[in-house]
Parts: sequence; structure tokens; C-alpha cells
Amino acid sequence: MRMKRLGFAALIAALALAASGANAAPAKQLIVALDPDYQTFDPALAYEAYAMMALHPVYDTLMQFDGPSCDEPKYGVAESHSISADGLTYTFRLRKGVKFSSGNPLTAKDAKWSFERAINLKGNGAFLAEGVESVAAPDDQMVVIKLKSKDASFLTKLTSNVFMILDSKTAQANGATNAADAQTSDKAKLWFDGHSAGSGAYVIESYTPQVELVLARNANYWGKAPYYDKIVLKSIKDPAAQLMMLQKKDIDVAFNLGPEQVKQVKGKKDIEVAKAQSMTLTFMLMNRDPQVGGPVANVDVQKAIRLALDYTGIQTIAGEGAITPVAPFQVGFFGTLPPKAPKEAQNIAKAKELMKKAGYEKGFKTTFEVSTQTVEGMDLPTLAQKIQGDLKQIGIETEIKTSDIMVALDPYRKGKQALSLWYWGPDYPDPNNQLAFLPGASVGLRANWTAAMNPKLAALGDKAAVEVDSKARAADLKAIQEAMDADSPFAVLLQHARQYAYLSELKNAYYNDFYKLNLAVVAK
Amino acid sequence: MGLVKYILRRMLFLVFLVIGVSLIVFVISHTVPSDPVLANLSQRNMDNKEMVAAYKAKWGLDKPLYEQYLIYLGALLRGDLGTSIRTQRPVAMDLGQYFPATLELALFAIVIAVIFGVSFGIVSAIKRNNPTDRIIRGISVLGASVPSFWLALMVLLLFYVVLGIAPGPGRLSTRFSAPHAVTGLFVLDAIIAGDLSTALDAFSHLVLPGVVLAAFTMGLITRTTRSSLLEILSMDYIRTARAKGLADDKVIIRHALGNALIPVVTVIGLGFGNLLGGMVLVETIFAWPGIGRYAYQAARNLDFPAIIGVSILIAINYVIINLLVDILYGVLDPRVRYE
Repeated sequence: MRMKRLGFAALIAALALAASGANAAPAKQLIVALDPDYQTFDPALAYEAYAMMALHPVYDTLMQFDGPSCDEPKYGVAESHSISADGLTYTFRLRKGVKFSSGNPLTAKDAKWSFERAINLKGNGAFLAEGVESVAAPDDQMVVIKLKSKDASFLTKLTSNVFMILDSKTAQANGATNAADAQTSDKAKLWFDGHSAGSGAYVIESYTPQVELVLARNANYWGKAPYYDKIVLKSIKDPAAQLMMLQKKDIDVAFNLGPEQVKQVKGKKDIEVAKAQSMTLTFMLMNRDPQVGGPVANVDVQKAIRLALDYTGIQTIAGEGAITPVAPFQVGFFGTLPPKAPKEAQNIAKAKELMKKAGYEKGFKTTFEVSTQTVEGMDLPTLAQKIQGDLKQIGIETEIKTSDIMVALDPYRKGKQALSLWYWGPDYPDPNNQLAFLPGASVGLRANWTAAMNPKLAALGDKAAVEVDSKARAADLKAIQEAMDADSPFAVLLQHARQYAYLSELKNAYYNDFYKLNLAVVAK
Repeated sequence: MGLVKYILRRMLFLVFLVIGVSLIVFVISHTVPSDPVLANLSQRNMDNKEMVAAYKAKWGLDKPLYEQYLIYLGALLRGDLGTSIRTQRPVAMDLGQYFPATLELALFAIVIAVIFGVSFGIVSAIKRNNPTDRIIRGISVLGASVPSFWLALMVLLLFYVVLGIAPGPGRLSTRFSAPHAVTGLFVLDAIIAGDLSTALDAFSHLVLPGVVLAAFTMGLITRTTRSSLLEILSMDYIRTARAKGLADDKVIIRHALGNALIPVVTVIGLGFGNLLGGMVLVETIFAWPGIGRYAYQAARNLDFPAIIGVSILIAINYVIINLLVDILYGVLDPRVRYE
């Protein structure tokens, strides 16, 4: 019996030893816990929000963002560029001496091959390259891109993963092709999920779905060597688990903390809490088609709804750092107006007047559709309940109808929701992305807001989309936001904040909404 | 000979089961009021008719439903589970990746549940209505009713954060890398590779999630063992055994327990099948890359090949477990005949 007890004690001791040994991470390894959505690391196919975080340290682009800001792209592997007078031809000169991790030199031919592959693969992000007419490589250092029409956001689009430059020789050796039928003939996706063919500071060492992505230092890197030998992106979905692991120092960064976890960790020794502006918006859609929206379609009712909302309370639900933009344009993008003062944005008396003017003094009943989704740690149905209370003050009785996002998306995209709550993450960090909310554009049409309903605003949007002169573009964007603030079928409720925590010894763990963390520059 | 025939017949039944399951899941998942194109294509690409058409053609979604099913079935009968729409990897590859993690955890959990469940059940029956019985019954009710996600968070907080005697979430600590995959069960693979420290680390990671998952099944096993044993203990042949002057432990172990375990084996089988289906919440909190989260994501994205793949796998699990349970009946009760 005693022997048995001793044996059991030895087992427990061995387990404890094994467990405690877990804390001794090897030197120069950065471990980030996150709840990633990435499905692939093929730059031409990846589209998910966290894909850029993983791919940016691995592949280079002609243009890129430096530091936390996304308002102006800087040079990546391009060292200069020029734009033709008609705004349709972009010519880039590449830096000399850039090498892929294989040792092959990065040339203009690789850029041409990579862009053509992305266009022909028709992945989810391929729309970013829709405007490209042709790509040419007149010599090894020169890339010439011709556009179908002018595009003020083209330099920004070049920062995205569909324009990442791949080592064409290595990629082709592993089944990749830039042929017109690449969508069916390219067989490299699985290879790209566990390997890489880039010129960035890191290479993909291994990927185990739902477990981890391991990046290792690129021995052939042409730029300044990064601090860490390895970066491990661990898939830890639960924010409470992320927090516990950070407290135990088993990880360096806990990236998906909710407001609750942030409260728990604030002020803790050795842990830094970072607060940054996310580019995700939450908004209310009010349909303009009376057949769908009923009383909600009335312009004055829509104005009244926007005035009835308690933006301060809404910001509280979203957590510290959330702001209320003037229109569906994110603060932090080029040309965005400063956010609203939340208290001044609410005016119940004026809202009631507008309801009276619209002929709904006694109010009305309507459905309010919400998906059971969490946006930047905020539960959409909870926000819907808050809004339900706000609208009651002006007589609007809402019946909240919740459904899974996959069910809710269909009527939303088809413009069949009277009143609904939605969120929007930009596809690329440029105000052109937000022009989708204008009358006649894709999101505008989900509210059945046609170009004919506001031709002046629709035309202004078309102009801003191609205006390459930054002064004129800023003026156009200002006019658009002011017009949408006065009248639009959207109530922009929130631009969210992103909070995460990391060990205080880390440097450069700043947030950039496009890259999330710029992993290659994080150091101790 | 009867047993071999019986097993072969059950295996043949599997083929029909797979076809049946695939058909039922296919029909059910296509009646959901949503669209896989919508679920998997970006909003921008949805606005482009060419992109939508190309996507539908690529995944065969432009064909009539019956044709889609027949194509799927044809491939299935050749052993091809298709490619996941969401992960764009072969479904068999995905299942091969996630199922061993679930299997390893489920095996650990069921062993814990059986050891404690049966022992508690026996003690509880012997000590009927005294304080020990009440405490054990309390534990079993608690085990079966405490929400697993809450228990998971609490044990992590206590044993990992506060006491520091258990490892955190995941299958391995960060300083270990996964052993070369032979079975996909990390403890076993590490032992095969002769790497004892990795095996120990992997084993230590099984303890907390394993205990949390075991709690529910253990509660059921305890209650079933107790009631079944009490029923047997009140039978005439037990009274006779006692009248013969046999000691209590001998009566229970030699005469009562075998018969009492028959319903317990059924509960164990069901509990194990349940564990093999994956536990989304516990997997999420312990960052366990199991089949539960894969199935959940597949369902959310209307990833038909993955949904059907997981369903078939779970159905096969149940058939095999039921077969094992039936064989165990024969071991426990020699009167059982396989016909």
C-alpha cells in the first residue's frame, strides 16, 4: 500500500515537473495568443482579418504601412514610383539586392507573375486587383501597372496580400501557376499553408490548424534582421484562457481580450494593456424602400432614429475607447472628420418633432434584425436591447429578431431588412472602401438607397473614388461625410476600440489595424 | 463462430449506415435557409456575378441537388470524403488532424469516469443512505449538472493560475513540439519516439480537460452503478450467498458486480460516444484542437463536405462502440448469444 502511495506521489511530482517546465520558453521566441480566422497562407487566396498579421512578416509588397497609422502607404520593396498624367499607369522601380528566402533575387518578373496569379486565382481578395488592366516587367527592376480606370486608392491596395510578391520559381516548382485557368489548374494552396516563398523577415516553418503557426527567421533576409528567432501564433480562442496564460507568462501577447479581461489585468505588474482604434464599425441600417421598411423608410423617421440614440450608453457597452464617427468613414483613414461628441448627438425633443412631422407622433411597431455575433468583444444582441430602449422614447416599438449571421446575411444583402444592426470591417485601409455606403453602391443598395434618390451624393462618390489630388480628395470626402451626417439610411453607432495586453518587456508591440501587430518589428 | 459472423454482419451494416447518414445530413443541411456561397465568399465577390458563377462551378453548387449528392456519394464510395469548402483541404485530412486529439482526450476522460464512477457507485450502494452515500450522490449530481465551461474555467484558474501545479491550455507546453505523428495521440506517439519528457508533458495536459469532461459521464456511471447494484443486492441468489456465510466483499465482487455492470456498460458506451463527438466549449477553453470545434465551424459555414464527413465519423464511432458494448455483454453474461 505504501509503495502504491509512493508511486502515485512520484507520478504527481513528475507531472508537476513537466508542467512547471512549460514556463521555460527558449530565448528569442515571441508567443502571441490570438483567436485567428485565417484559412490559408497562400497570399493570393487569403482574405481573413488575421491573414495579414501572419503574412506581412513573410512576404513583401511594393507599398506598405510603417508604424501604427494606415493613412499613407510608404515604400516596401519599391524605392520610387511615378503616375502617368492620365492617372492610369503606375511605374515602380524596385530596390536592388532584395532576395527571397530561397536565395533567388526578387525581380519585376516575380511581381508580374505574382499579380497575374492572384488575379487569375479569383480568391476572395481578387476584387482588389479588379482595376488592373495589365502588368509589365520591362526590366528586372521596373514594374509597370496599367489600370482600367483611375483609382485614388490604388497605392493603398498595393499593400494588401493579393499584391504580395512571390518567388515565382519556388512557387511554380510547388504547383503554382499564373495561367488564365489558375482557379482550377493551380495546385499550390496546400503547399503554401505549410511553407512560404517570400522575401520577408520570416518564413513559415509550420502550421497546425487550430493549434499554431510557427514563423522562423529568414536567413537570407535583405533588410534589418528581426529580434526574434521564432514567432509562434497560438490559436487560443477563449479570452479568459488567453488572460490566464499571459498572467503565467506562458505567452507574450494576449490579443483578444474582452472588456472584462481588460479590467482584470489593468494595473498588474509586468503587464501592459494597449488600447487602439479598430477600423470596425457597427451601424444600423434603415431601409429606404417603403415596401420593406414601412414607416422606417420615411426620411424624417430615419433622422429621428439617429437623434433618439444614446451614443454615450452605446459607447459604454462597446468598452473603453469606442468612438462615434460622423458617417461610415473610420477615424484614422485619409480625410475622415473628427468623431461626434456623443452627448450632443442625442436630441430626444428634436427626434419627437421629426416623428410628428413624418406623421408618426404616436409611434409604430417594427422588427429589428440582429445576428448573434460578437464584434470586437461586444455582443450585438445586447446592443440591440439598448437601442430598443432608446427607440421606445420616441414611440418606436421594436421586436428584436435574432438569427445566426449566415441566415441574416441573405436578407441583408438582398435589401430585405426594415431595420437591422450590422458591422463592417474594411477590406483595405482607404476611404474608397467606405464609398460602398453611398447611394447606389453595394451597402447603400442593401438599404435600397438608390443613386436616383441622391444623385448629387452618388456623383460626388464617383468623383472622390478617382481623385488623385489629395487636397481635392479630402474636400470631396468632407462633403460626402457632411451630406451623410445630414441624411442617410445608416446610423453609425460605433467605431470600436481594440484592447490587448502584453508583457511590459516587449517593445514595438503597437497596433496597426491592417497588420494587427507588425510582428517583424516587435522586440524586447 | 457466432461472434465473428455477428461482427462481420455489423460491419456490413456500416456501409448502409454511411450512405444513410450522408443522405440525411445532405438533405437537412440543404434545407437551412442560407447559402454556402454567401457563407464563404467575400461581400465584394458576392457583388460580382462572374465570381459567384466561378465559385459555384468550382464547388459543384451550380448543379441540381440530386446530382450534387450523387457526385458526392460516388466519391464517398471510393473512399473520398471530398474537399472542405471552408478550409479547402481534403476533409479526410482535416478529420485525420482533429479526431486523434479528441480521441486521446475522450479515452483519458472515459478511463477517469469509469474508475471513479464505478468505484463511487459500489461504495454508494454498499453504504446506502449513510453519509458517505449522500456525499457521493451529491458529487455525482454535481458532476452531471455543473456546466462544463464553468468547471473548465474554474479548474484552470485554480490549478494552473493560482496553484501552478497544472499546465495551461493546449496539447503541449510551448517548449515542446508535437511528436512525429504515428497515431496522432501525442502521449503514445511520444512514447513510440522514446521521448519521455514530451509524453509526460502531453499527459499532464490531458489531466484538466480530461477531468472536466469526465465529470458528467462519471456522474451518470455512479448513479447507474449504484441503482443497478442495489437492485441485484436485493435478489434471492445474493441472499442465498450471504446465508452461506460468504463475506460481503466476496458477495459483491463475485456474485453481484458482474450482473450489475450490464446497464453500466451501456452508459459507458453512450458516454464514450458522446465524448468522441467533441465538446465545443471545453475544447475552446482548453484550446484543444478537436473535432467539436471543427464541426461547429463547418456547420456555421455550411461546409457540406465537412459536415457530412464529421457526421459519418460520429456515426461510425457509435456503431463500433455499440459493437464493443454488445461483445462486453457476452463477456459479462454468458447467456447472451450473437445471432
